[in-house]
Amino acid sequence: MSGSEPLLRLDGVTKVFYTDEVETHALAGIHLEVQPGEYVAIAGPSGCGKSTLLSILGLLDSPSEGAYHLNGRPVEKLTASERARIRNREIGFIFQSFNLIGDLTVFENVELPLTYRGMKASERRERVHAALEKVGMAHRAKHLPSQLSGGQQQRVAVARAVAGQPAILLADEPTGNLDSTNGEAVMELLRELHREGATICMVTHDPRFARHADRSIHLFDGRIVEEDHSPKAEKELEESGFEMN
Amino acid sequence: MEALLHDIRFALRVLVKNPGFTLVAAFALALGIGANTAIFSVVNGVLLRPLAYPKPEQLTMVWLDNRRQGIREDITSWPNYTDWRDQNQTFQRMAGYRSTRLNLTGSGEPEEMQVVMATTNFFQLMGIGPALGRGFVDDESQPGKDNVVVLSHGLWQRRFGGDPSILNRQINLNGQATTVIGVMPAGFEFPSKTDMWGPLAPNDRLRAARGAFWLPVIGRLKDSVTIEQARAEMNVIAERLENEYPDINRGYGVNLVPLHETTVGNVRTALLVLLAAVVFVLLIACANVANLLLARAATRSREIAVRSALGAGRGRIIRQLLTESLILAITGGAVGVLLAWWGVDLLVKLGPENLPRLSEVRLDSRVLGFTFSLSLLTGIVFGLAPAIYASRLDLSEMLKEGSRTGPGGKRANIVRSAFVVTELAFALLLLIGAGLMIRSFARIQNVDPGFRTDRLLTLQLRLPRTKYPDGAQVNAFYQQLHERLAALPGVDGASATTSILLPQLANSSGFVIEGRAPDPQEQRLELPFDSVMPEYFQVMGVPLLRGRFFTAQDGPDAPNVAIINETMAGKYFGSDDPLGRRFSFGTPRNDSDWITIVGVVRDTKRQGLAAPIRIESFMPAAQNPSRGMEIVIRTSGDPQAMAGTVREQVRQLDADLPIASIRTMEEIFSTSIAERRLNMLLLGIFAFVALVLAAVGIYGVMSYAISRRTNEMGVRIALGATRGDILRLVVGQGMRLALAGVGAGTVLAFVMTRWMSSLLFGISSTDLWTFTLVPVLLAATGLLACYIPARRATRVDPMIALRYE
Repeated sequence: MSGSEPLLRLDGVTKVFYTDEVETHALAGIHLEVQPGEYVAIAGPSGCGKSTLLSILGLLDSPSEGAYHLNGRPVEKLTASERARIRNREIGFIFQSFNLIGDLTVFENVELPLTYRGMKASERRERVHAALEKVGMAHRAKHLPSQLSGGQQQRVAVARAVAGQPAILLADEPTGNLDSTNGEAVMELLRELHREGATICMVTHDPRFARHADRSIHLFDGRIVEEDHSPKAEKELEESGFEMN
Repeated sequence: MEALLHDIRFALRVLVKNPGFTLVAAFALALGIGANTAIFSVVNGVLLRPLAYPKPEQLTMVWLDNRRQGIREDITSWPNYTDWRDQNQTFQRMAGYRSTRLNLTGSGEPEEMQVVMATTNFFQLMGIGPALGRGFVDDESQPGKDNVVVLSHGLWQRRFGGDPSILNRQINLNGQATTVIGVMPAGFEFPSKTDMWGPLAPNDRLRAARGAFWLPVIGRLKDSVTIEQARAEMNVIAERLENEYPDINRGYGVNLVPLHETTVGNVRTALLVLLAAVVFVLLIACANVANLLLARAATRSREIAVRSALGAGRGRIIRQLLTESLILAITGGAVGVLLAWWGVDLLVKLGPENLPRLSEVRLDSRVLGFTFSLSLLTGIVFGLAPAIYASRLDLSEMLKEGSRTGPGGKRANIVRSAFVVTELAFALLLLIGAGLMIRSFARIQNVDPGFRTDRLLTLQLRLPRTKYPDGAQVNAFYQQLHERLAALPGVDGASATTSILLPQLANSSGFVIEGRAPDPQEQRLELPFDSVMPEYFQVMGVPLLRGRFFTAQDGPDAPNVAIINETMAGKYFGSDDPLGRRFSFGTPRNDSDWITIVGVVRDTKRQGLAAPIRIESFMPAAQNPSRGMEIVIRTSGDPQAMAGTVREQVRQLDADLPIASIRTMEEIFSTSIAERRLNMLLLGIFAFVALVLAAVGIYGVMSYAISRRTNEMGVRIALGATRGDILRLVVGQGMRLALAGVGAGTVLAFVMTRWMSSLLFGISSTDLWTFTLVPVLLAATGLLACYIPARRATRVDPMIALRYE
């Protein structure tokens, strides 16, 4: 770990769900730091708490106990609108099922988070074009999501996540709904964004994709059971021109 | 047949399995169909059902077309009547009649009777003879031989207990022994609410007086003669009479109006407006149920897809879904009939006295047939669009696990939105209609009648000629009554007039003003006149503008004097002082025929709050005695509480004298606007129902849209949308629909409310206030209806929404 101020810091975060009389501990005492520019994969079997952790990181949910600092600021006591503001400006989401809005065009989908900032239309247009260029979807700006393939939809979702130039990208199984070819393409896109300096936190259950990250965190029953830094070496190998298995 | 039974069984099972949906949909339809059935019952009873006479289409009112005064339906004189009758070839018969009120005394309480004196051919003309006894014979049209009457069935039952030995019994009418010669069958009340009919036996003077207009005339066209042919002929006859008697008949034509039109013409517009209103209510209900069905079709898309996959054709699917709609509509229709049953009962009870043929309003086979047809039509109207949409499924998509496409898609959204916009437009139309009626009613209630209506008790008396044969006795009776009433504790003042309110066909006569050259156009202008007792104006609270009121000195031997209203003063004297000027009814034969104007009083709304003010004149009752007078008593407390005491005073003076309609002035005015009140009330109720249905409609569509867009809302929240953003988004989308509806409705109302013009008072059919406030009200309701689902949308948990994939 570097000695600089982490972008995300979780201290003893637990999350308990109550259903009737059953108490489910989704997360149990998670300590985690993510540095700016880092690419972290959160891996683990189904039901281990990956998505819960990502939801807490993305301010979609709150921890039952423990502290969460984002950019050095505690977020537990923020109001709903302050949390919305942070989600909008500092976090970019990429979902497994893309979650594009069917009635909006590609352009409008990417533009959507920017409209919540009250940004001027001209600036929005520039940002959206840049984001779509980045993911190679500028030529489909006027299409509806239903006119795109799954891979294309996810690239648009990535464009939407990066258009607002957030501090961190949170990706929840971004390849889960894609075939292997399209999945690879999206992973390549994330890698490229990371190379350009983006901080990425990605949930995946696929070890192949976890290896793309600088660091892999393995969750089991709501606890971090393993942290693995080896992917970086593989990445360096890859960058040196070796094919990965 | 088997397939149909299967469809019906399945439809029943589906509807029973979804009781919430079935109840809401059936109730909305029941409201719409019930309102339509109730109003159609009235329309059927009043407008559509033929009059209860043989060949009623042949019955025609023969009016004098008084072009001089612009009165198209005026009464005529006996000589004109006989000329019309004798010179035409197009009528089988023509009869004259005159309504009057006579006192029935002798057995039981004295009672004032509504009596129609008709020419002896009257019953033959109407095509209905007495159920008991006989009608009139020609000989009975001679004065002195006319003391016979035919009773109405209602009077015979009420007053004489339906006694079959009533024939040839002597009854006392206005103090004169009169023989009952017949009883009419039940339901015959021509022209309206008549108690008995007597033979018309005008004296020689009336038979000769072509200028004395007192007779309404009715005719029966010959078989195969059209009213146009009769009109052409009667116009020729009228022209001939104009040439023969130019002094009197110039400017008078003949106007033939079907009896049905005369009977119901006044209420046609109001009834048709109400019928249109309930049709719109039903259409709104249909749109609501169609939207419910569209939403339900989305949830049933998999079932429909399976049916299709198993080989059901599109027509088969549509038929299945239409069967459900029709069962729903028929259920709504059945409940609607029950609501209408109750509604018709209420309408007949609430119906104003003057609504014609109200007693004929009932749920008959035609109404039930209408309701059944309407229910079927309704089922098809609201069921067809959802059925067609549901049948257009993408099978491969629908059969995939977790698929959510289908009739919830964009096209269905457009249809749903179109339904809501239409509902709102119709609701706005009804609300503007109701708003105009309410504004009119408020205006009419605020009309200053020109006198004080509070604490005023009124009653009608009619002294019989036999007992009070001359003016002196009449004057003496009313003078004594006045003294007795004025002396009563609790009475601030009492007086009398020939009529408090000015009837349409008031006592009037042609007049000339001394020193004013008669304008040929004005020569036959009629001046209504009333006889009033001293203190009449003071008791009524009518201010004196110039001159003086009548006094006890204005007796039978004093010079003739009159008080005129300010409209007459302005019209005939302009800026000149009318005081001291003289006028005469007809050409004066000597100086004593002139009547000197001694006062000018403020105009009053005696002809009705909504009617224009006419010229009026008043004369002292002592100089123009009238047997029929209306007594006015200003009380210091509740006027109704004085009714018993007043009745007792009349009885002490003449125990045989019936007292007709003891009413307060406020009751009289309330009755005069009863029809407007009922129209306003009904239109208001329908508009309110429409508003509620439309609000439910927009609420339903927005709620449904939100439920379909839970995931989208979750995404938006995840991307940083605040609650305000979501609220604005949903409310904005709902309000776009609402404003589209308001816009369309405003245009629709602008075009359609002009048909209501004749029902309005004091405002135009495009009244700015109504056209501003009502759209704002509807938009506000729309806002509220959108706000609730919008609030729900802001509470979407993005975690749950995003997992719902």
